[in-house]
Amino acid sequence: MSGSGWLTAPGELLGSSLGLRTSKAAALARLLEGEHVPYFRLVECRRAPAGDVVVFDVRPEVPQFAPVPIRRVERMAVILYDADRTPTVLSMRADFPSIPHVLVPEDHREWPFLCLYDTSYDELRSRWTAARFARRIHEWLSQIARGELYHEGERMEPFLAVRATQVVVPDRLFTAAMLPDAPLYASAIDDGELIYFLSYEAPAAEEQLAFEVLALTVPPQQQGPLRREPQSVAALHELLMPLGADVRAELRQRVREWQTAGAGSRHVMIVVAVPLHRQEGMEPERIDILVFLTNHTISELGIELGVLARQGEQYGHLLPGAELPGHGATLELCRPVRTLTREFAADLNGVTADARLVVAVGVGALGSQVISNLVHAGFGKWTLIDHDPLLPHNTVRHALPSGAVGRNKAGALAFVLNSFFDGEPLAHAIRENVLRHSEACASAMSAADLILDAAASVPAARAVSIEYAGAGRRASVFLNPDGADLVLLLEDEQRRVRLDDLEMQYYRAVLRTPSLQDHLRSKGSRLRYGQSCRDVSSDLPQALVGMYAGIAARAVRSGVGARDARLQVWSTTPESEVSLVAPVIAAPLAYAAGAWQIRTDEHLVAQLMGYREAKLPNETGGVLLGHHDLERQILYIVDVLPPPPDSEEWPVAYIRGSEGLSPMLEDAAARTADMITYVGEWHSHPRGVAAVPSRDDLDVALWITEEMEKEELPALLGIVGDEGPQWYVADVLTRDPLAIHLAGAGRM
Amino acid sequence: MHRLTFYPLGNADTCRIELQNGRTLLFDYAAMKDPGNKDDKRVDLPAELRGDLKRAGKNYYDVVAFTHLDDDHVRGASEFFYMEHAAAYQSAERIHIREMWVPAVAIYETECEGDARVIRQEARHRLRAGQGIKVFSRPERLREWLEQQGLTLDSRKHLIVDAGRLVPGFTLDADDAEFFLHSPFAFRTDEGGLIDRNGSSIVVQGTFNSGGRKSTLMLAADVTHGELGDIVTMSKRHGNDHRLESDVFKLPHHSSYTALGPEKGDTKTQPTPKVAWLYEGQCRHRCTLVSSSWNRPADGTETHPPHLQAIRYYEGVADQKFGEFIITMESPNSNAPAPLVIKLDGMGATVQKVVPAAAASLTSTSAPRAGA
Repeated sequence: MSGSGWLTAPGELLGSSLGLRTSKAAALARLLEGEHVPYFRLVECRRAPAGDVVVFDVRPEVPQFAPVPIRRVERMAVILYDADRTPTVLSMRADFPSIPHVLVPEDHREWPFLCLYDTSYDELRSRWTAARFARRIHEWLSQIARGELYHEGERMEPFLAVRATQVVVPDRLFTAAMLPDAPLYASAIDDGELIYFLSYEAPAAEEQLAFEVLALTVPPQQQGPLRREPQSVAALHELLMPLGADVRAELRQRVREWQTAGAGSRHVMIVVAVPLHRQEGMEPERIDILVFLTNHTISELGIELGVLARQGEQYGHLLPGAELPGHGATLELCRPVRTLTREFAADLNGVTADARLVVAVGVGALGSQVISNLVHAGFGKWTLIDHDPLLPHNTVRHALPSGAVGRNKAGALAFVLNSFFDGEPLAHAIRENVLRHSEACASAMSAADLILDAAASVPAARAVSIEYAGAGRRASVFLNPDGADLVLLLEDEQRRVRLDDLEMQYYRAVLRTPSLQDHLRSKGSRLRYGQSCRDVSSDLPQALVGMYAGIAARAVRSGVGARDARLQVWSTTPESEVSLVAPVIAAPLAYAAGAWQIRTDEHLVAQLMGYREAKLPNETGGVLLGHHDLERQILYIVDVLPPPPDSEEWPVAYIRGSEGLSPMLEDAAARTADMITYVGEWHSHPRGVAAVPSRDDLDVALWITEEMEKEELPALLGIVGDEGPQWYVADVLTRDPLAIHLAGAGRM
Repeated sequence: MHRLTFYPLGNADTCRIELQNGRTLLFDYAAMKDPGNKDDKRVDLPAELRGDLKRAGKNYYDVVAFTHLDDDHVRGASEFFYMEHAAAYQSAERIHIREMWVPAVAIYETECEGDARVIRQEARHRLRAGQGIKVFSRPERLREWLEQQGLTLDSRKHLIVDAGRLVPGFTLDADDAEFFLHSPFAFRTDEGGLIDRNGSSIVVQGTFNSGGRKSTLMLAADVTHGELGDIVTMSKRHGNDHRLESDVFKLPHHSSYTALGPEKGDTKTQPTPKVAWLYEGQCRHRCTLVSSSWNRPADGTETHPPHLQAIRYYEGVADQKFGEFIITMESPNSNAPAPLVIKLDGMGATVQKVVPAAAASLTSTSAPRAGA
């Protein structure tokens, strides 16, 4: 240490900056010599074996009461290597604050080493200038002084060495208060760069074990013990002994055992868990895991530690008393990299992990990718339901690879998802058709917090919405037939707006929104490949499915974070401009009328009331559009056509005209792929007149019934009075036209 | 966060105080730069201040204080500020002064000219009008002048602030800032004689609250060691020692030895005991001492300030406090002095130090003339 308290920088002192060999060092020295850069002063230039050293004083911005003790003047040395690799930045004071981003790597063990960049030098090289480099050092010290980088470094390990060997460590080790008793196994993969693994799972039998593991936990500490990297077993022993762990004695004993067991040719991985707490007596807040690799085999280690001796090819045990301190038993410090958990994944996605139970129905093109996106972000514990096997052409647009062809889609995806994270399995599969109502499906659905239908099938969506019991919210995601649009339907938290109600309001949006007029209309031949409006054509680009899988995953995630229902339709232009239509969702209304259930919503009722109001004291009326679910005997009233212009409206009579009706009905059917059709008639009654059918109304009902009967469809008659609409469903009981039976609907 | 800015103007003073609630005070205005001299490294003060006002969307200062009427504290003020007393100073681009602070001498001084005269006329106009001004004085000193104007002292008393008081209009509650007036003053000595320093300049201590920490600033204009000694005596007598504490000290009279003691000294000026107590006792840990002056002289033979011997004393204080002594014309370096910014927040006073990037330097001024 020199007189002023600074350390002496590495290398030999040069007479001037002219002796520098690398262009970067020369540029830096020239810059600092010229006083062009404020707050810097060149001190000296030096030459180290591997590169040039430029030493300078820097005056960072330091607050009067700085949380981190950075000095007003700091002396730094920068090593710029002949082989143009990451410059090394060293502090010239031994007591430089011990904080993240400051460490001592193996080749500069005398000087605290600053970690200035979080990007690799390969990326920086093309932008490197001496001035930028100097500015970065200044800025770094200024930020450190305010404690800013300190907090940001939460996720960094304090001893992160830039070029250290990496070892993948089970996440559990970082969260448990101490190392579990279960044995740890070490292995390695050498595929260009050597990566080590530490695991609780024994390697498969055929694998040759190359390592033994010595794991130990020290008592809780207030800060990490490493300021200097221990280079040998002796140094590690000196470091850990004051903390209450005798690693060397432990190692000596284990070396004897391993040698006896015939493992003498293996190396040792030493794992030290250092629980860190804020204060004495408090629970540890986190754990530092230090991992060291011995450079020697166990037999050689035994010699260095004075417990074994070698005679020819044989090793023999030494009696106690011959122990050596272990200075020659050199160690390599590894950088621990934690395995991925759901929580860590969520963190890396910038969200919080969400362990709600999700049932996914349909693991096809969109479904598999939406699920995969959600799982990657730590969302959900999953039950996947699908009965289809994966076929070669499926993999064009699927989360599964060709290797899974022939496997059940749900089973194969569950397998893949379970390999994402360290920890409990997060997905399991039910290899069944959701329409078959198996016991397994029913119990999964009833327990679910969220049921995500991605089956691209109306019957499956209706089954999910109506037939399966359970309080969990339901959602549907699907693409329109040409794959240019994405639809999300999501029930509200209380399930007041059911998925089938949302489906109907979605059709109404398709009818009424100009930009959606071609949304369900077929291009060319109508619905070429399927029987349903959700069958997607086979020439759909994966790019579009992938994009929509991303949008859908975000929308589901944000949707379940709120209480209200969602109805969202995204459209994409050929230039990939995405737009969103999200109509207001109306509260559903349900009525029972004999065997039939009538479902509509407040928006439609308000519209009928509006028409009536506008024409009072005359009556008015018109045609109702909707959908029959014959299987479940539900009649959905979705929309109302305006009174035709040739209608006759009187204070006590209404004769519905027909002008323009046919084209409107045809258009409605074409726009909604035949989902929306004529369902009945409505008319208004004057003020003070009950909304019950008159003699004339019965004739109308009879007329409708006769026509609808041919289609085996119920006839609907709506009468709107002061209190709103009353619904009547007419069934012809016999061929006798007078025997019409009107079932007045009561609100459910 | 509050921000203090000291401008490199040679031996001249301008300090801007931006409070964290947006109110802004300017202490002195001295546009010293010689526009005809390319080598003049002093800052172009009006351009600098106009730029900042424009960025803040303002055309006024809440307060402009003229600590005294010497040229190095007022130069160019009559060209920069909107003066209410005469139409000649009221063009649209001029900067308004919501409240003017002046020492009493700025009212009754008869021998002054140029900018000083214009400021005097403005101060008199405002005092007559009874608004937009605070005069710092023992009130009695203004009685005669007021009566000559046909006004009574009582009718203007609320505009007169005596030493040993907080300046009304700023409070720690409302502004996180307050200003304590030390000078001008008059006081009785222990022997009973009257010392009247009402001819001297404004000395205030500002206290600034931010992030849970109170930081203090001493602004000492051009006072002499005698005046400083009297301020110390008076403050101690009234139990106001803490009103002389400082985290940032704008040193008096451009580091002239006369502000420390009677003798310049050979290597280092020896301060009077009272002045020594003011610095060595009342400057806080890691304080910042600001010398608004020309560069450090090569040797100790200079007659004009800054004096090397005085600088050495101040540097010694800074070292003892682990603080910093900064000369405005040398900050960040002598090649390119720039306004010195000190931030006051929960971490105390931080001298802003940003290494400028070339692009930032290039785009902060107009490009040189280009073209054929």
